[in-house]
Amino acid sequence: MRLTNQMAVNTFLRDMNLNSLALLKIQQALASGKEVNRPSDDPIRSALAIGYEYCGKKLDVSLRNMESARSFLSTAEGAFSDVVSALQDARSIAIQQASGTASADTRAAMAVAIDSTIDTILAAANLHFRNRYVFAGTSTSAAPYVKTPAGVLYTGNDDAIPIEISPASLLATSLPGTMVFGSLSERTGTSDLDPALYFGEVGGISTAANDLNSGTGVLDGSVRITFSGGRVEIDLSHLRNIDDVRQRIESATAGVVTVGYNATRDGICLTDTGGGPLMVEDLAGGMAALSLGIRGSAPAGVIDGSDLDPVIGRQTRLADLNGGAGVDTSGFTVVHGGTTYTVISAHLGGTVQDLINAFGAQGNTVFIQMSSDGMALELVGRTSGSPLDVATSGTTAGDLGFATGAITGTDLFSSLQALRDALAADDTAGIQAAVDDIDTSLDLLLAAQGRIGSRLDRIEDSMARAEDRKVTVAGLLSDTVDADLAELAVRFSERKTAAEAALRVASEILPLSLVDFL
Amino acid sequence: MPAIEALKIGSSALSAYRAAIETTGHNIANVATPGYSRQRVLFQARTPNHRVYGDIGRGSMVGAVESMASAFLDAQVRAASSENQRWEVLQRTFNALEGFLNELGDADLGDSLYSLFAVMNDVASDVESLPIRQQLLEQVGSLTDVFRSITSQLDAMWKRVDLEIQSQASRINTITAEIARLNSSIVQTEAGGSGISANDLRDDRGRLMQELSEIVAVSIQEDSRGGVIVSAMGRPLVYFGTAHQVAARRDSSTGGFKLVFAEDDADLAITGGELAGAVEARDEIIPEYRQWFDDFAASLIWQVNRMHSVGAGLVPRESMQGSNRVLDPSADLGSLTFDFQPRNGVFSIQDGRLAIDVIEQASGLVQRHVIDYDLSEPLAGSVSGLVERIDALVGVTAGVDNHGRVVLQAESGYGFYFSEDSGGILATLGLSGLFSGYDASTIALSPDLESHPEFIACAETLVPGDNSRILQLASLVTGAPFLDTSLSLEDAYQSLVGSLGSDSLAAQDAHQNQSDIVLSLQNERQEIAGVSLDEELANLIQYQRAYQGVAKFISIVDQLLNTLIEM
Repeated sequence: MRLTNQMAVNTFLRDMNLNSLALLKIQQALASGKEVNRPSDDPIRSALAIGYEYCGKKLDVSLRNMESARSFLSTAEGAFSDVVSALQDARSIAIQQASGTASADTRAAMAVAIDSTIDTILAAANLHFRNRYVFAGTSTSAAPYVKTPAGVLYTGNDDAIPIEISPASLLATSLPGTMVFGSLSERTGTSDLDPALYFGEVGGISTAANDLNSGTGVLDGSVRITFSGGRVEIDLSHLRNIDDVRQRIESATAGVVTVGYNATRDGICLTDTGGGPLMVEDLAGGMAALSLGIRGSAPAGVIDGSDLDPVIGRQTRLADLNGGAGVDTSGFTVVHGGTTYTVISAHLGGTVQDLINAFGAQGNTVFIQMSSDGMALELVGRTSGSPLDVATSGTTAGDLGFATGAITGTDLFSSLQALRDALAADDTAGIQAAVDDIDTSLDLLLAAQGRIGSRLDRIEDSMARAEDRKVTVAGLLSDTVDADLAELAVRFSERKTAAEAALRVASEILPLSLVDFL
Repeated sequence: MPAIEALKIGSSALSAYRAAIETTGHNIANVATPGYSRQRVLFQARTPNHRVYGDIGRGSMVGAVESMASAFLDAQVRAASSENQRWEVLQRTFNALEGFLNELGDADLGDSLYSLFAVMNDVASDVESLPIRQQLLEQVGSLTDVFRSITSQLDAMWKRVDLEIQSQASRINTITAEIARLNSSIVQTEAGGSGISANDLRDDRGRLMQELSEIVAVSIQEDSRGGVIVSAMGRPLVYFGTAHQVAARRDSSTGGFKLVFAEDDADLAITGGELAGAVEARDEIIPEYRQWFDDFAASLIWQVNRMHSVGAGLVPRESMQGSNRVLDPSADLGSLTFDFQPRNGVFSIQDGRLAIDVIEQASGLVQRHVIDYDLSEPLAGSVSGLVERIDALVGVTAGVDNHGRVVLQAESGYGFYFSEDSGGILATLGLSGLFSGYDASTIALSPDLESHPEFIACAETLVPGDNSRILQLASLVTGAPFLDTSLSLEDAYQSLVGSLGSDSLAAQDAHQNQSDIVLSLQNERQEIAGVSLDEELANLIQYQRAYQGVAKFISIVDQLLNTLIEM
């Protein structure tokens, strides 16, 4: 083999480049403290590192969320102790004054004291912290408790504000006033109003598919209909309303199968105009026919679907309530918190929304909402201590599920007001009754306090866990990308020795030439 | 005259060794010349004189000056260099892409996404606070900046590579012209059966062919007269003494330059070399990553806007403007066209239901209006049909402006927001979104929200403490599906970084391997054709001694002659 000068030089240069590159990488790792500085340094480790990094960021976010939740909940907890001690003072006053020996004068003096207790509690209930009225539900921008001549008006709602304490796990950071002080306590309307289905024949909105089956909606899927005219497959996915069902089935069967209401108007009915037999099946993977209550077969050609239990929505027509019988349109009145609300036939010809707005237009002490199961309407009074009085000439109120006559609820403010009034009126029986009411309120308050306490515990636990995981993840991340200084130092000296040796050898060999010896 | 004959032997040998010493000197002089092949002198005995008693030698002469070039190894080095250059360009491209992404560094796309996720959670904790909402707007701005900076860097890189391709045309032309000129000179020098080999011209030509191969892979055929045909996939760039010029032309299909033969605009076939790497980078790699970022941005915009478009801020909206332009507002919703091409799974509408809540400001009463729309139904099945139906509502006016954007305006004393949209029409039209735009270069904070943090839809309904929408939005920022795949955005981003890393590493490895191959082939070539100083010096000494010997011989012959003359 011949060895030439260029060969020696090229080979030396290449080896030296490789050595310098390796040294550069070690230098970079030592300077940045990371062994993986760009994805190509180690694609697998960098993908892992990104995963760990993002996991750590998510934990940071969870921790921040929990910190914030903790500050809200402990602030609320702090307010509670004021309220509890004020209420206990009021209770001992009531017990003292309930004995027959107490004089009218001391009772009158104590009435004034109770008044200031009410103010104290009111101030605590209107606790404002970080831009938020803490006990207002989600209606947090205005003080939820307002003193009116008729009593204390609660303008909040009974929703809670959740935050994410870990991915997909929510925790309420607030207790609405209703859970603490028992506000919004006067309400009526629990009966199932049994709304009927509606295809939208005379205007308005056909029953929404999402409202069916108590609000769980209709499952997607395709169905096969076998009827006198043959057999068709129909996609019933992404339904908006039951009229979509009607249109899709009627157009697919060229009108031979017609879709209408079942006998009780709470389900749909398929009729084969060719006389049957009629069969509806779900195709594999779908449950549309089942969730529309029309799966089955009928030799005579009529499938009378089952009850679809639609819930009441803002768009539900009042005429469709009570199985389609509707409501009496003669109207009714409600008196509460010093305001009289009159509902007349003009309000009763449209939808639930019109009824809601009829109340909203007349005042803010009474409102109508859908019950939590969506089957009933609730008439709610917001003023504590003031009776909710429903009067009707026809059957309108009953048709809407509202009991007529006055209902009075108990809540913290109304029981204190009752105590104050009984003290002022020197009414021993009244004072004794007030003690019981105060006990009820105190129970509610203590229950709320316990709830907050357990939530705070849960947050503490979760925070501790999250901190632990953060340490673990940080450790994993560090194992993955961080440079092992000791190892790097060893590798550095290895490389350095190799580089020095290469240079030394090159400096000896490259100048070696016959020229020197001639 | 035997003495005279002896002098002739001496003089022929002297000139032969002088030639050998010159050649050795030439070799030594070119020890560092790239592409140089060592030459050696082939000595040959001169034709002897016939005598009755036998042949008497007449000395030596130079038979030929031979170049040690190996055509076979040269061709191998050329092919390997083509491949090496291609990988070098690819490796540089991936390297630059890694730099743009800056993953594992600070302020990359992943970090910005997670910062947005974090700020959204902060807003969820303090949903009433305007300063924190303002931070959300700013974070959206910085996320969109990251998208735009990546795309503008990718575009700039694309242009740079494109210009590189364009500039190669003149380099190729210079080289091919020179090869053609050398072809003629070599043929002329070697013509007429003189047996002379134009060694240095050939080395020169070899070096140029090598240079050309580094730019574009070529095949080379040599004919018996010494000329070569240099061709790319069968089409000659150099045909003996003629060079066929190439030119860069704009290619309407890719928007970049392509190289063609100037005579007839036929494409130059590019199968290796720098050009192949550049074309691959420009037409495949860069557009692929560009497309990925567009898809990522589109998925983010579409999914987040679908959620954001149906929610309420702290106060109802008084106006809204769509950010996407509809080319024909009266077309069926099923066949809507925009000034961009939506990709699979984004900006597509299904049959759906739209609910708009109109608020009478003075009383606070809410009227919810529900409009069902259908991809094919004539009445509400087009943008203009839908707009007409919204326009008919009390409290809201609606229209389509001259740019094809839907514009909604509350009448005086009213406000509105959307509370339901099951089919995605709002996000498709860019109405009521958090983002505007449709890809990585157009993504921006919706202009409607600019300096209006109170309009960020954090709630489902108009309740100040309701944070349900912003919680859902936060989970979408990282968890929304990428296009119509089952990958979430964060998964898709992670796998992009992973695949860029392995592509880049593969290119680095391939380049390293290829340059090792080139080096070992070059060493093989050197083994045969390279100049070794020691060898040349040894030869030099040999020739020197031989020369001295011949000179001695001549002086002895001279003495012989002297003796003869003085007799």
